[in-house]
Amino acid sequence: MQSIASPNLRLDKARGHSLLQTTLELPPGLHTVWAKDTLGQEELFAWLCGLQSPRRGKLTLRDREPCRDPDLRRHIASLLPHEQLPHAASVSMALERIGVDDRQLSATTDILECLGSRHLLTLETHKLTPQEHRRVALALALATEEPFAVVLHEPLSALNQDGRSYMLDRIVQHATRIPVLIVSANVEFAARLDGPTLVLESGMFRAFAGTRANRFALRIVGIGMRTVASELAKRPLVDGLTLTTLPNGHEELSVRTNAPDVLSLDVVRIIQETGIRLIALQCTEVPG
Amino acid sequence: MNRAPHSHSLSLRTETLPARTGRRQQVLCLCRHMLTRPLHVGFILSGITIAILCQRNDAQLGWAQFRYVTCGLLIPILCLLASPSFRSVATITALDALRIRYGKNRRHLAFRRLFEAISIAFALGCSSLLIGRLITVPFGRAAFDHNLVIDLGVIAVTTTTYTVLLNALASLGVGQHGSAIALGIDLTLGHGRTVFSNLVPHRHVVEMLDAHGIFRGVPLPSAWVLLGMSCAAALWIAARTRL
Repeated sequence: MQSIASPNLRLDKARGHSLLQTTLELPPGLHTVWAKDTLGQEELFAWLCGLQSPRRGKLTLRDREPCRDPDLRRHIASLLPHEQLPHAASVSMALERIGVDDRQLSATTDILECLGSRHLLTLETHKLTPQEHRRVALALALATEEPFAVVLHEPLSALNQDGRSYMLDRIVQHATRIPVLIVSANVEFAARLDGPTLVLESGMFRAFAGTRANRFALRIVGIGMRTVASELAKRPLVDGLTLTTLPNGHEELSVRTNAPDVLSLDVVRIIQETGIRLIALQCTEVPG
Repeated sequence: MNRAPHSHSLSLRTETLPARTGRRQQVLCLCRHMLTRPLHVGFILSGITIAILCQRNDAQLGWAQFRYVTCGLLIPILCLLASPSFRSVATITALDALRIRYGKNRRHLAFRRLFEAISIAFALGCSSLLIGRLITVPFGRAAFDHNLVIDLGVIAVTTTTYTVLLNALASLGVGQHGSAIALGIDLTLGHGRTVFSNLVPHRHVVEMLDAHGIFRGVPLPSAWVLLGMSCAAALWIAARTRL
């Protein structure tokens, strides 16, 4: 009988130089870590990418250790705190030099195209700014073929508003199937991603014990709101959703969330894409 | 609170050479590397010392053997420990880290790096001895000919040659593990004849080299001891890089 590997990302009594004893089990879904300081972050990402193994304990993904399994490493999409590329005449050449295959390179090109940054691939690597380096690295991470886990450090920091929305969509899509771990020093950003689940402080993980952010209600009135409702229902930021038909024939969509700004942008984007008529968009704070 | 990475942690970024944008910068980069690589120079000097001492007759144990061990083993080990670039020996390069991250087998990379280091070391070691030979031939002497002036001259030329070549290679991004290369040079210079006489199937090649005064007079048993020690050191370095 063939055993099926668990898709979970596990840190089993793992201990490093900066990270203290850690036991975590991350099932498929979106997990956000609010990093209160930088201690242990680099070490954590080095473990997750398979560059290092913990001094004690172990890190496993699908019951295998990334640092011992080159094939497994190919399926981990990662964005490290500090990204760099080797010197090369162009970014594409640098990516080939580090062993990125043609399919991933092609997918990276497509993502950069969507971000309006395709030109970066033709630049010399030393001419890229740190932000552009991160943009390329993020595109490369999300172009990973059949990822088993996604681990990203401040994924949206190098993007503009449109880019953020696009990338967030892709990240959320991954979170429906595999563990997605996002580390951010910005608690507001973590809150937008449905609230942080963990806090990393002084090399120790602990569950996020803070009170949840205030709830907001988005009231969207228009014609053909069902499409918007079906799109929004897929998002983890949405806590509740109600669709009612008004006496005048218009439809009213009420969405409960704690990230109204992100959702508002999403709504506007969906409406622009589908050509739905929007009559009103209103946000109110609700208790609890 | 930020804290510096632990000294034993595997650094993801070790040696990144500055962008080579102009000839002046290239020269400055080369000079900087030449001045900041005491480890390389230490290894090279110790290798040459071994080579000279190997010319002497150390059949009798005692002071000669002591000198041999002191110069051949302690100097390189002290250079290794004292050097600020010691930590770079125990770390993986940024490029290798990226390759490993995107799915390369780290053992494959390690073997390739060791092979690269050893082959470059052999090439440099042999060419340097030939340079020494070519310099001394016009004066009717063989390389390392028990003459202090000639020995010092050859040391100066070979040291300069090594330093320039190693740093030129490093600035080109080849053989970033210069310390491993230097270890290989150490091994080549000290035990060249032993390795040749045992590895090269055609003994007439060795005889020819002997006839021309190259790789001559290397005492076999002590050379094997040093060879073993050098290999152990190379393995230790490999283990430090968690290969």
